[in-house]
Amino acid sequence: MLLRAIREYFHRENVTEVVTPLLRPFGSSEVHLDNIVLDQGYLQTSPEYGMKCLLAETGQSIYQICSAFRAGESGERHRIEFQMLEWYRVGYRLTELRRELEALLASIDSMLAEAFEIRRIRLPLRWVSYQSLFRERYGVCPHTTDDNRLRQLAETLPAEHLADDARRADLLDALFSSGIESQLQEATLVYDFPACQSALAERHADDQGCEVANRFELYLGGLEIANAYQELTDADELRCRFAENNAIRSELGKPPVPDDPELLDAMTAMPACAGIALGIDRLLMALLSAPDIGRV
Amino acid sequence: MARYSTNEFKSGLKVMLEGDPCSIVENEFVKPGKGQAFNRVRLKNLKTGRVWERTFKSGESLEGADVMEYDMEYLYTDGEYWHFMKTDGSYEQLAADKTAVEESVPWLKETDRVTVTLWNDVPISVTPPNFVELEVVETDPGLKGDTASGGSKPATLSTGAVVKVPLFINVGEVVRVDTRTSEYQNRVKQ
Repeated sequence: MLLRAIREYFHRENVTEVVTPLLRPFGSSEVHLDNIVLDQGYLQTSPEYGMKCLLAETGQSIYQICSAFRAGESGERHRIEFQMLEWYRVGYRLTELRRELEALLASIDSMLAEAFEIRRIRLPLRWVSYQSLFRERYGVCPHTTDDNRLRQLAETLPAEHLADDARRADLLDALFSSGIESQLQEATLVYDFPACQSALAERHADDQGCEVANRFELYLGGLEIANAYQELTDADELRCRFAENNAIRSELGKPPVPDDPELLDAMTAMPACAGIALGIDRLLMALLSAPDIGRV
Repeated sequence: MARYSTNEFKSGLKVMLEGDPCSIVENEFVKPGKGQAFNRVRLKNLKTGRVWERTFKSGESLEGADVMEYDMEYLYTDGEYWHFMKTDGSYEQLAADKTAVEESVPWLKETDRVTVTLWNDVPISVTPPNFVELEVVETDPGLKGDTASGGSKPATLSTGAVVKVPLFINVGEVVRVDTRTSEYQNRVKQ
């Protein structure tokens, strides 16, 4: 039913459904994503790379519903294999993608509400910056405060898992996930993430002139549901980020992941676009108020 | 003792933390988007009963605690030790010291069944049944027929525990008490 609602929406919008390989010769070098590596290649942690290659080739808006695999992620909110909806809109800025996400959620919400008792999604979605949430909770700016101060703040939480020399991104993550995430019960979009958490998003200056990642995340019922980027299309910058990831991976004793030459090639031909990945199991959990991802 | 990694954590697992045996109450795997994975764990310190909240890096491990729980019958106290006997037919006896029984002493009635927790074969805590029936040995005289006014008064029970009881309760009567909250439940007709 949920899948049908998604497909009907994109059909109406003339976005092409695509299938990209789940097993590719290259994986993700994200520091904290562990690839499942088989003899024949990497099970994809998301369809991002495959879809970007296709985007470069076709220049068209596309969507895909598929399994994604992340080694070692298993718990009430995580599964090693989970269902992901990912789509890219050529020529879109994040503002337009945000409107589209709201339209998609509205049609899912009304279609599901006819058949099931669900927790309704309140639209339009609450729109709040990472910075203002962080300031409200911790009283400091997440973009300009130095690492030592962040470390002190982390010491006020149960956050013993952090190493003494934890990196900025890890400190921010601990502070955000322990102190803020659970409060985001009502459907909320959080935008302008710290620059060190850019992944494959463009960076831009926020209204106070801080360099931030041009991305937003959807939260519902205290769960992270979706993650949207103004997509980076600069191959050199991407190469730098991959190199940074691998440098940190080797510091942490994790295997390096070789750069994906196909993706780097695709960057030059990739049109300006905005893209978003949405966890389908998580969305169902939130709509059904299910406590465990294994039940949906 | 075996070590347990975070992916083996589950509620009820007994582990060592800061030198004390603990029981895992709740374990949640947390992974912020592309951030570092960790486990948010609530543990009950079995010696003090206090609950701790801690986070562990995923893959970190804790030493298991040699903790056993036995159903036992409370026999008697000699003032220094409290003596219990296993109910599994072995009639094996154990003595627990004051620190182990401190919290449960007000509820220990001879021949009652309790749970004794042992760490490295030494009793560290005693859990009384959730409900016990004890005789009132001291309280102000009851108000006859007053079963509805809702007032209460302190009453001392045969074990020394003091609980609030309704006004109509008299010395010599037996009351049922919830040992977790120290609250009076009802009067027990003998």
